[in-house]
Amino acid sequence: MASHRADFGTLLATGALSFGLGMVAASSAQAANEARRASFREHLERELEGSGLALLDLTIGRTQGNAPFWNVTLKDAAGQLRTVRVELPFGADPYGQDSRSLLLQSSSLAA
Amino acid sequence: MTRRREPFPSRESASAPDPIEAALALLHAAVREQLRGEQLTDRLTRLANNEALSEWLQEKVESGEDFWIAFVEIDRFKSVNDEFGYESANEFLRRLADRLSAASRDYFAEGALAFRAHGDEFYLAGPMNAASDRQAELAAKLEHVRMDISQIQVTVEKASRPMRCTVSIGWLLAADSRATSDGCTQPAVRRQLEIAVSEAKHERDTVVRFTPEMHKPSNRDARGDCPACRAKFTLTVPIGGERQGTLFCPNCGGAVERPRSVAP
Repeated sequence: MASHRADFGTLLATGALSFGLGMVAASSAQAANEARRASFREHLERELEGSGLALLDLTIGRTQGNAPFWNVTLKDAAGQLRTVRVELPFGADPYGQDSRSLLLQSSSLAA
Repeated sequence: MTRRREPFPSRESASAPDPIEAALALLHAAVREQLRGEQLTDRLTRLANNEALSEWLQEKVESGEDFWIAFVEIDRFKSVNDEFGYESANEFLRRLADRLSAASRDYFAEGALAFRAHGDEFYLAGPMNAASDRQAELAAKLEHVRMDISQIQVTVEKASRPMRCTVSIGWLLAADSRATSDGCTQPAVRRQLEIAVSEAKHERDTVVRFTPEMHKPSNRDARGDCPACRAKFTLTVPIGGERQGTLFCPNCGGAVERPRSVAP
């Protein structure tokens, strides 16, 4: 009985592997991207909250020279809305620690 | 941010020693991916949907990779829909989707995709990674797409003529989008494509490429008087910014109505 169970399991595992691994691999990069974006935004949101700023919108863009930038829309404690464009150096990782520091600094200055 | 509970065990459990558990975990992961795939697929045409388009654009902007994108909109679709009925209109949409899907494979370099975003709004997009996708060639290929679509005919019972439609196509290169004052962002690309397609719609059944000269800024200065402190002020507001929340007087901080006089 136990050996039947093991055989069935092996068969199932083989079938599932060929079907499952292909699909999982294809979308794992996308899942990783989504997780990275969510994590970046979450951290930034929390740190801005500490400065009394609410993060309403965060949009990534590219300049004419193809350098990345962020459009950050903030609401301050008085309810005033403002959008700040923070340009990053060419080749910078938009989701890196340096990018976040620059965003925080520019957002605080704008407020 | 609250997270939804995952309906299936996580992928980590796939490393469990029991082969049945391992297999089930993999199947669950595959089902999860299948569901995600369904979320990104348009039900009527089976093309990638608006969410998939957003994801594609987001990745291209993040990576800084060069790309082209075309917005394909059916001319006067509502009146055709009214004349022939929604079933025939749906059949037309399916055939158009098939043509776009075939065009993405046959005309353009690897990586090109067709999307149906909403109703009669379709997109074709691809990376600029091949010599065959240079500007002039792209324009010629999009002309072919336009002509292909104009050949589609759906025979409708009791109708005196078959259902046919033309499309207007607006398209752009990432480099042109970046050259505008808004830069190349996902919302900016969509706005720029709308500008190009509305130009194309003036004549209908044409293809228009977006150029930075066609760009309209997304912000403008709005002037007004504060009802509380009576100060005159100028604010930079997003065009169509009525969705952006309340405006406040920069002098006293009081809420103000949307300023009436707007400087272009």
